Amino acid sequence: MAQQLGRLDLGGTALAALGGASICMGLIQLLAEPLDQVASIDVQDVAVQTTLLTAPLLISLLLLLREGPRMVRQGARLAGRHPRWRRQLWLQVAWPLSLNMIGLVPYVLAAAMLAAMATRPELDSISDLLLLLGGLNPRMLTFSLLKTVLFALATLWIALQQGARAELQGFSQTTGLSRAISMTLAVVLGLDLLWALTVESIINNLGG
Amino acid sequence: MGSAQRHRRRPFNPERLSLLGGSALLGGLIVLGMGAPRNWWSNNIQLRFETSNGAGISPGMQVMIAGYPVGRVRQVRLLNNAHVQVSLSVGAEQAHMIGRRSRATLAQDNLLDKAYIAINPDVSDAAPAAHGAEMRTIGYEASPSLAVLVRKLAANRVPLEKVITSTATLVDQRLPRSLDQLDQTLISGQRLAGSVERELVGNSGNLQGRAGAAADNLERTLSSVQSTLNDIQDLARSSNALLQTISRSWLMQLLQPTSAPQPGNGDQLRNKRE
Repeated sequence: MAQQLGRLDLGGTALAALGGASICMGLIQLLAEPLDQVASIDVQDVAVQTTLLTAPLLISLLLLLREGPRMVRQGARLAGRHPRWRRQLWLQVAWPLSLNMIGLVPYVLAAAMLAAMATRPELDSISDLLLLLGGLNPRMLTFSLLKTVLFALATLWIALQQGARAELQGFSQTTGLSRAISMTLAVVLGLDLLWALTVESIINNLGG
Repeated sequence: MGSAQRHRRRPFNPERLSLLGGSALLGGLIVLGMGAPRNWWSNNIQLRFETSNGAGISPGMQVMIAGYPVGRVRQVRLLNNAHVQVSLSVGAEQAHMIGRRSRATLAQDNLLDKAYIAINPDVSDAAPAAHGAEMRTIGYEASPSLAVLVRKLAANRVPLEKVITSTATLVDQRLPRSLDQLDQTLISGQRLAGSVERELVGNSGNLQGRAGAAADNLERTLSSVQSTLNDIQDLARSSNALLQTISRSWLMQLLQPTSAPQPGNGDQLRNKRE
């Protein structure tokens, strides 16, 4: 049961790809219409990179919405036990969950690029795709992968904890799930802000 | 959730494996595409330049020759002399295009495009490419900033407005006047052409009359010449007949010498003649 948490399935992958494409398309429309720059590859480039930045948030949100009830239930099962058991379950699920969540990032990115290419008035697809790929920042991609893992593990931990807490305090699991959703959103957004303010600036300063 | 469950063999899940495989394939393609313009999969040469103003130059920025991406900016650092040193990584295949006269410039095609480092090629005097060799230094020409361009545009605005005003005045006032004058000139020219035509018609009539009179005179002269020639012909004919008569006369036969004259006779005849 625990191994099934955050599994990579077709539905989740399709949702992630759809989310990436939607975000990218929306950004392109947002940027291109006021600037009248639909044909500019830089607008598509900016949209794809922004999608890459938002991919960790999107993936953690999908994880929470799809696997939240199951994670809360797992937390409720371990409510009466020692917190060591919860830590052990978290560690047990951490590696496959991280791998699965990282596996979603290329789908999000590929869908965003396809959406960006679809908005080009002239369909010179291969050269546009190469330009978009060349415009990706390796450091940003690495940060996105790291943040995806971090957010997914934080989501898992919060859901397990809220499940156990709901069980201990006599609340229903739906209440636990509701609290888990709100707390996960707050924590993930706070982590993202903290990352942007501290980690990236520290790494940028170290890298010169 | 015991150790038995932990060590339970995970069932084979083809969906998960295929999705993970697809993700790995996409990730590999993304890394391949990302590395191609950065020359990750080919040999590079290192270039550098120094500038007193490194504004707008950042690591990862594209390096282009003739608008074609050939590398990236690797590092930007501030030196102790307050100059900025910029290190570039350029593909070894394009190294022969960068010579001693090559210069790097910060360029931007339009306001929304990203800025890039443009290197003007110098294929005539290119240094040989050597991977891993000492870093080469090229010159840098600072491009005019947007603020400078706006300032120049503002400075040019007043003369430009004057030119536009003068042009408007010219079109509004001078041009109609000139067109009127041109119109009058054309009417006068038309009038002049009419009088010239009339004069020509009159002159041609006189000329025709004189030519007819001259032709008549010539015809008369020719007929008198012809009659004169006929008279001369008759005179020549009668003279000829007279000369033939004289030549056949006995006096001429007498005066004609013999066919083989003797020396003595010749002398006598000459003496007689004398």
